[in-house]
Amino acid sequence: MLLESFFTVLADFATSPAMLGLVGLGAILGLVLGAIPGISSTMALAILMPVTFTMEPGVAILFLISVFMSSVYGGSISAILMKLPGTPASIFTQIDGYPMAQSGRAGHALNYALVASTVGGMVGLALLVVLAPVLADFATNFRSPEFAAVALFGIVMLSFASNGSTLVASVVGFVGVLLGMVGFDALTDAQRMTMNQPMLQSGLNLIPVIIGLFGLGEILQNLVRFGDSPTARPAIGKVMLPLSELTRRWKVMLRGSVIGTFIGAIPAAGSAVAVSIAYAQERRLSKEPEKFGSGHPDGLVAPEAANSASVGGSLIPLIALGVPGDTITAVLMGALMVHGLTPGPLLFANDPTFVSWIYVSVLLALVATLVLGLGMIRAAVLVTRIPPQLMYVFIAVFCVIGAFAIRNDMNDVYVMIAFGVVGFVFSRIGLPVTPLAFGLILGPILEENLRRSLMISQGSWKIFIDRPISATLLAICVLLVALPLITALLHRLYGPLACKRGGKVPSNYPGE
Amino acid sequence: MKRRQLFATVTGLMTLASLPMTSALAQDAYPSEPIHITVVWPAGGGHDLVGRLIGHELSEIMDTAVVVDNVTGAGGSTGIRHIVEADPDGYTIGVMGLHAVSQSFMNPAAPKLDGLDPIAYISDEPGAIEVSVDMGIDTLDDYVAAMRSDPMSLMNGNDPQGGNSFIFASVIPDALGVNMMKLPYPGHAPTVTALLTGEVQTATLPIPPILEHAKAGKVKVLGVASDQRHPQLPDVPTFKEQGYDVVVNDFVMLVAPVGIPQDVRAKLEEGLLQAINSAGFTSAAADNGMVLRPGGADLAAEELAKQVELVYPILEDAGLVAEELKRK
Repeated sequence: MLLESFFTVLADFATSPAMLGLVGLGAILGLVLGAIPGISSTMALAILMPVTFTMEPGVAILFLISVFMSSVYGGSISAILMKLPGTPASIFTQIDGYPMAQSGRAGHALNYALVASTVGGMVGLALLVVLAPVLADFATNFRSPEFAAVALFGIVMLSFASNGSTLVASVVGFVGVLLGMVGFDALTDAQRMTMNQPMLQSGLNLIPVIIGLFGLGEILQNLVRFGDSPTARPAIGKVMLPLSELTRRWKVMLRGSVIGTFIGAIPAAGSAVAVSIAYAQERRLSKEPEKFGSGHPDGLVAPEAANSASVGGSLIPLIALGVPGDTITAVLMGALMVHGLTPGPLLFANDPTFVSWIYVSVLLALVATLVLGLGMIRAAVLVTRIPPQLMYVFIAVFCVIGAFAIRNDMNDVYVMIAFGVVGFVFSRIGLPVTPLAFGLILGPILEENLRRSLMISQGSWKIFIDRPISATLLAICVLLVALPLITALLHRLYGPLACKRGGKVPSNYPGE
Repeated sequence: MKRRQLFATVTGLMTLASLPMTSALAQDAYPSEPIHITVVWPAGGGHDLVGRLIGHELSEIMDTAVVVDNVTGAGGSTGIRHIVEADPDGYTIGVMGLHAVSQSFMNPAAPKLDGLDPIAYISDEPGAIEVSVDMGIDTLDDYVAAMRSDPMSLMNGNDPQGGNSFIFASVIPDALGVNMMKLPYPGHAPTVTALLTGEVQTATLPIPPILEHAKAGKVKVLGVASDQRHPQLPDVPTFKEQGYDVVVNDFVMLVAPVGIPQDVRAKLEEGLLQAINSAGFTSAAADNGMVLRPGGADLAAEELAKQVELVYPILEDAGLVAEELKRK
């Protein structure tokens, strides 16, 4: 029944010039906004949301999803050309993409990114269609203890996704968790760590923090490096890429896509975790890991496939549970609710056509991004000719606008600037920034649901073991923590063979 | 029709791009600039809907652009502060409810209510109690009997302290003579989800967020805590009809910073009343489950004073009034 309504809606949309025009417009806006550093997919959606108020719900969804999908690839453009991730989803794209652009292969890099994005998006969509209905059945079993377990799972995964010392990453992550507590407690509205200051009562919103850490932090670093050497402008080089180069990387694309979908599906984990794990995984499996970081196409293809696949993934909890997979889907959910559609466990039962709208929108958006993306590669490459002095000014302005726009609050701009400095200092002294952001995302989810679970069970921790889903998730967490110990033990017992696949992440991990 | 949607998008984008220029126009008769409606909750919620619907009508009535600003955070206090501290020129107004009254007692850093000038009253939001249909409870008497035999068998989902469904969850059990186990959720949407997934068995939400679920038969509304039945749920009896004397409600009103010149204030009040009484607003708001009781500045001020007297003792009983804000 779902398939049937999928094709009906697809035929309906694909034969309507107005709809196709709207997809194209959304894709162009998404590409441009995503490519502007400091404007994340989240902001692109938030900025364009009011435009959809006058539209019908299905049309609004189509438009917003086009913006969403294309902004994910748009973010990679600035990561590849300027080493400035336009969105958190592209924080890993720059590692191999930027060296490629510097060595005159900017066009090739953009091609790899675009094709990998399209493949990733398709795989993510396919898994969304297959998995979401199954997950919807589990929806009513997904309560506070399960959310607490998922958040814990995300935190455990985080220590694997980050480079270098797990201990350092955990400590930084813990600081992030503490920062997430600033403001009003979600369960009692009691103030914590606010010192009665109105500014701190608003809490540390994720968006200004991320813009500060990644956007402004990067500018500050570039300013420091500015005196070192006048940046030589790379040659543009060949733009088109032989097809065989792409097809022989199908395994990399597929692996990245599957990782991206599943991590994207974890509520609040989102694309940034997906790309880091995809990158680390690909480097582990590669025959030439030493070339990662100096322009290896696999290092670009894997995270690109993952970030687009995570779009489909993040829509799974949104559609099946009514829980946004990340901040981007949170804005999308807000837009849906303006149109009177509440995503959640009841959506499949009540409104299957609407679910088909979402699926068709993702598909059309992917095609539009591929076509328009290919068309604009030649123009995009010209960005590398803009003098960096000018570029940084633009970026700094976008950082300020972005931080303010999210809640119309000047305090968020100060928060953004403060975290810009934090990001800068962290990179200087070699601390990873990513765990800080993830502590801030996952900490509040864990705390809120942990406390509510214990209120329900009247203080008994057994509630987490009695419930099968949370028990399974906790068991996986324990296994993940114990795995390195077991590997070490095997290593000692049977020699180095047992853990030859344990790879290391390259030294130019972002924010290190 | 779809072509029209595309056109609307393009015009929408163009309006967006031209907004900063309109403010530079001549400043003679009010209104000569865009009016900003502050909504203290994020886009997508009930207040946001009110702000956008009123804004849409007001822009036609006053013949000026109306912009909705979601100034959120700190339990609504950031947005209320934004209104209080705005220039009293009639170009900044805001949507306000019970939360601002609670915050003014709970949070020493929250703006005081005397910085707000009530301009127009929109609606009452009666308290209510809902139960999951799986519980097989049909009347308040059934509920009271179940709660007396095992108070922990029915857990209630509500806001954190200070939110309207928390206030309802404080007033209603007192009147029924039961002890209620209150589980806090950060907002109405997660409370609805918890009621639907069965994590909680009852909720004390106002009608709008659960209206669709009640109509779909997933949720049973046991009673409405108002004098009249709810217009969208004519089959649900009031608490009074079932023998429990309790009336409690949240409210939605429009406020401005204190000190607007008299002539501007009169024009604003008139324009807002027209917007609230417009066919477009009344039908959309009623469909959404709001109980409209349009009124001017006098009614708004009177209702605000009434709510202050209702909320203060509840918060004081719960030990939530901040030390320096206690009445001597």
